[in-house]
Amino acid sequence: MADKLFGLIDLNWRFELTKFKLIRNLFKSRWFPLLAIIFNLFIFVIILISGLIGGFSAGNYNFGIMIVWILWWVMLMFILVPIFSRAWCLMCPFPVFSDWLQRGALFVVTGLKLKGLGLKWPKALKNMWVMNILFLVTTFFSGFFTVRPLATFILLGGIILLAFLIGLVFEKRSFCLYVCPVSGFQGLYSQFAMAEVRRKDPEICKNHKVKTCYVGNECGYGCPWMLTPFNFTKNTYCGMCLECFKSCPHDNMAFNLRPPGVDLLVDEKRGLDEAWKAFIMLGIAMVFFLTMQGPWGFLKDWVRGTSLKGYLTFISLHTAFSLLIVPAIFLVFSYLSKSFSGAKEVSLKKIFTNFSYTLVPLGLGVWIAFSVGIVLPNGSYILHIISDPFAWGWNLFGTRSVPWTPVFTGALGHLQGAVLIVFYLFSLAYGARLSRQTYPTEEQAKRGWIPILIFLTLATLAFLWLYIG
Amino acid sequence: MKKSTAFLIAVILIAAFAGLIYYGVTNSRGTPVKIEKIVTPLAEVPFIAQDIDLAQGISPELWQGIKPQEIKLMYQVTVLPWPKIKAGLGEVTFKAFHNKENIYFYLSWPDNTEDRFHETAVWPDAGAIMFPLEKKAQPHTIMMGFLGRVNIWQWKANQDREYWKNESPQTNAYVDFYYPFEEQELFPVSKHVTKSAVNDLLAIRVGTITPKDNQEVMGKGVWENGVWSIVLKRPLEALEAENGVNFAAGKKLAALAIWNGSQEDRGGRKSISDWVELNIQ
Repeated sequence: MADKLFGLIDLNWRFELTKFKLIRNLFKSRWFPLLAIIFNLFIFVIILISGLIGGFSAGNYNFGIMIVWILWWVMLMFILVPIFSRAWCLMCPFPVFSDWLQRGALFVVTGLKLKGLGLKWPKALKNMWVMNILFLVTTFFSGFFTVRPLATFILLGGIILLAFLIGLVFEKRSFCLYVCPVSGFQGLYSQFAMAEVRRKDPEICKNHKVKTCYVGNECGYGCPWMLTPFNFTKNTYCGMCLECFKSCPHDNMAFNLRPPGVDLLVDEKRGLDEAWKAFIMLGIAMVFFLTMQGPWGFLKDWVRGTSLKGYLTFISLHTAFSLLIVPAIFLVFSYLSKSFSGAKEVSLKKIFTNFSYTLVPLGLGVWIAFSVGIVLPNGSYILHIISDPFAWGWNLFGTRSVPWTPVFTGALGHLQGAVLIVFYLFSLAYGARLSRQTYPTEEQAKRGWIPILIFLTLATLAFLWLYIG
Repeated sequence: MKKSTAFLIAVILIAAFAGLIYYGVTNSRGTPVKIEKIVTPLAEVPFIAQDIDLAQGISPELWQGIKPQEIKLMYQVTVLPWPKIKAGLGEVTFKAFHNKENIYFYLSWPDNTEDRFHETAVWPDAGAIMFPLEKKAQPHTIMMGFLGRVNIWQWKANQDREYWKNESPQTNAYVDFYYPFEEQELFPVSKHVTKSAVNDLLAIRVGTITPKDNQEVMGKGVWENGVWSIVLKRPLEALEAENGVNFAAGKKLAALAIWNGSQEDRGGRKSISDWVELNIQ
């Protein structure tokens, strides 16, 4: 019998968008996603210039800050990640320079031998830990990025520089796969996405001895993310660069729509690094809400570094909460799960790791709700800054004089609450299934699920209290 | 690619990026950034063994002997409704003294119109002083009391008229709220009894303005030749230790606000000063 999400959607349901010739031709063209990358590069050049010459001007009237932290972030959380998986990676301009260096060309396929030093990424770091730490460290400066244009310049410029330097030394997209702070949470939450890149017919791949999707050919490069597109089963590390569509001579790659969250049930490469990513994202979301959308002025002062003592207090508490306290609480509930289930043969690590994936829908919901709290009060600034990106008095689109206009802020808390509850339900739906995966018998799974259900409910109630009061 | 080439490229790029950051730190919009250090004006609050009977007036001759401090004002721009003008009022003349029993503050500012009525779409002139109640006051912001507990004394021209001239509050603005059988009631139902020309208020953040239980501040305003002069008076020690500001000898912060009724100032729409430091002798 088909496993149906909420009794409605068959988890095996797929709709292949690339069966339409137009889309397949687009995906096979070398112009795509290059043109999207070049367009975004143009936007990011404006962002960097406005960040550099914006100096100490106010964040709400700075092109860089508004596009990055209001428009881009919200697009990422609302549409790109939950619907299209790592679609941002597809069009991200950060690694374009290292790609260019390694390939010696932007458009054509120049050959299988790439330039640069091409070293292997250290084996001990082939996981999400570097991304976890870098993202957490990045949030230490959250109080500056949104108000100081130069801080945004330093962050984005630093990421672009780092991407290039890592591309210079290490092979292919090592930066995207193991370092990029934006990549980690996209990878985690893309497991919930409603789209995927997968092979179509396993038999064709099996019989195709030269795995051109991995090694490349004259039509496309071998997977820059160093994956094996002929057999991967999770979105987490697929950057959707579409090279496999170009290099597959049998047109055996597909871009599918699917029910949200099905990757959560794929028991492959589950590990503590991904589990911690989920904890860190949840912890950061709570800290961000408290400091950015909460009414506590002293917290804002801490984050903005008005005093060294306050700033160090913020960093210490923030790190302890996201890196230690949230996982520790979850560990307690995992232990209770093991105890309740009575399944002594199942390790605590497996329970802890498997159930951490229940935090993916909830965490994504929390971040979407947080983003609602950003875009509704502040979205109108975008109309101003697109007309006058460098604050030089331009009025490109005639919208420079549009005043700050908060939208639906009266209903903000309720909207955030509604979003959270929807994603909480997804967490429950997948949590019950993960419990069945974790424990050998149905009875053990039912009993072991109860503490995790309580944790998810308490976490949701905590966020609801923050949103609605 | 040789390792030395890669190293050279890396060094050049890192140096170029550091140079850009240096440019960003030292330049804004193509010119070097000059951040003016904020100088908090210092106003002396001397001891003068005199009293002012506000019922008799504001004693201009007494104030003439006290050194004035001109305090700059700026317009509060972010609270709806939007201001019709963005130019501030300029400056307000500030003086103060105490007689070990009461403390007196004098505010004077130019205003071409004497707005003493609060009616539908008509707003009165007003002036206020705000004192932080916390030991370590936060930087002043565009909203009074936004970053900590404050005590605000707000003098309002319509209230001044009602209190000192014993006139009933203007009913046009709030006609729907007046209860026709008020006089037959034992306790007031809708009737507002003006007990002072000054509201003694508390606030902790935006939207929290609350009248204190003990209204301790008295005040009076005089409009002459296009200039408002107001005097606020309160005992040195507050009745409410927690909620009232105390004026022990030493330094104390204050901030000023002015509302111009004819420019439709009301509520958050006003002109404000940065912190002023009082030196109570």
